[in-house]
Amino acid sequence: MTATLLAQLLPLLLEYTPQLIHDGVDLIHGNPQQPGETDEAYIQRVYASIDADVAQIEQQDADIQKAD
Amino acid sequence: MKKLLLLAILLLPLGGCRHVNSSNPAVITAVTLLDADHTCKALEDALTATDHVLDGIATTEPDYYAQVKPLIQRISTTNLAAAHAIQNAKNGGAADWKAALLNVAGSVDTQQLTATGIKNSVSQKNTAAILASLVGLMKGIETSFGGTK
Repeated sequence: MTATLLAQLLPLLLEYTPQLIHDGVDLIHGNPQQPGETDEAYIQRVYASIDADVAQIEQQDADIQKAD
Repeated sequence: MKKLLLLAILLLPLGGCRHVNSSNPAVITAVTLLDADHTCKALEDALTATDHVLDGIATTEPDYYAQVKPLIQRISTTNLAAAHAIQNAKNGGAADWKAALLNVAGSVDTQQLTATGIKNSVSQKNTAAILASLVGLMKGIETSFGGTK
């Protein structure tokens, strides 16, 4: 029983740990303005990434709200 | 694997401590909103991971599942609302994104996010680890964006 549960849970943790580390790096380093990048171009890039993240969050929330 | 997960958990609550190398108010606003957005994204990823872990033990730990699953759903609902508020602010709207984000931190009593009640010790340890990342993030919201709870 324990081995079965471990076999179920380990892949999940392995699957999500890299994403959580990536999120942590994002939180610390953000998405810095590149040398030579204009303010306008940088703001557009930042705002596009926010739109992409929100779309992903919507999908993830829908999955979480689903009855299993 | 446990070391990696621990690293992830330690990194997650550290948002909002970045310097902006610009005096352009529009850039400062964009970076501030990006910080908030990254917080929402990290939280949703932690919620997704938690949800999958819960799904994995739903049949073996039904009482625990019934107790914690609604909490995860509630946090996710408020987190999505915060993400939409950030998007609204980005688009020039008047949404109070900071209040929405703080609402995520206060959406559940984090002391309820515990693996206590899981009978299988392996499941309990793994669930405790993933819940720790969630609680760390929620406390990070309070620290970075000025919550009091």
